[in-house]
Amino acid sequence: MSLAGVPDAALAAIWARHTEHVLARLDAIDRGTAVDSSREARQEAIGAAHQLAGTVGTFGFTRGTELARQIEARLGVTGAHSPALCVSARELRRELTGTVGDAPATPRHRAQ
Amino acid sequence: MLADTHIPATAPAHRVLVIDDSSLIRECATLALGALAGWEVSVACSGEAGLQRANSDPPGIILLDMVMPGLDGAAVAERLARDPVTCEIPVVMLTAADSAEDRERIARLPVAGVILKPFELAALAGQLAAIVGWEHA
Repeated sequence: MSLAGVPDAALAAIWARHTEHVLARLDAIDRGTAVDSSREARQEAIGAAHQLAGTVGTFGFTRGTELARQIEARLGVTGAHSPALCVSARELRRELTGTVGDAPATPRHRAQ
Repeated sequence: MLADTHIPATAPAHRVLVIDDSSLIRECATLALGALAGWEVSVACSGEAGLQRANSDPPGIILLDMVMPGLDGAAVAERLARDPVTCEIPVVMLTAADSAEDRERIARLPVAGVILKPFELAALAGQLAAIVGWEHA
């Protein structure tokens, strides 16, 4: 059991079924935080960050939630590329996939 | 794939409708409220579908996502409140937005409470029960 009594297998199964969605949202964030990103790409990235901010914490990715919120807020305010945004995007991908390009990591035990 | 409706083997004490465009959230809520809490859970993937389901088969409570394409949570909450069939159903808003502006906007809506995303799976049923005054072990 993990996450305060939620069965590991059930949690892992849900996470696995949404691997492609998580990766697609990370890709959208990459496009929206790129130097030459379009307005549409930034808007898509804001939406992707918002969705990740609202979900990954349920799977124990507390840092992932923080990073996604940062990205959503920074893109919403500045609407432009910045080194800090790229750093956050890379860290978010690393947090959720283990390493760049991997399938999403498995759900984590929540330290609560 | 997640079935459109999850009904536990045992007779459910409570019936909840989850309206959220995210399949990940719908699955998590179904796990938390159905498999873990033993409630009867139905789901809808849009505001429009949620309104139809709430009207045709009124649940005991509605867990409603705030940010959705098409009809968003605010519009759905207001329509539910205007419908004689659904106006008495408590609506709990589910949102990842927690700014002062967001809180003020939700405070003006006809909802019984708010649960912030990301939510804790094991705590979700208790949070909902506390908002609407249901008994929950």
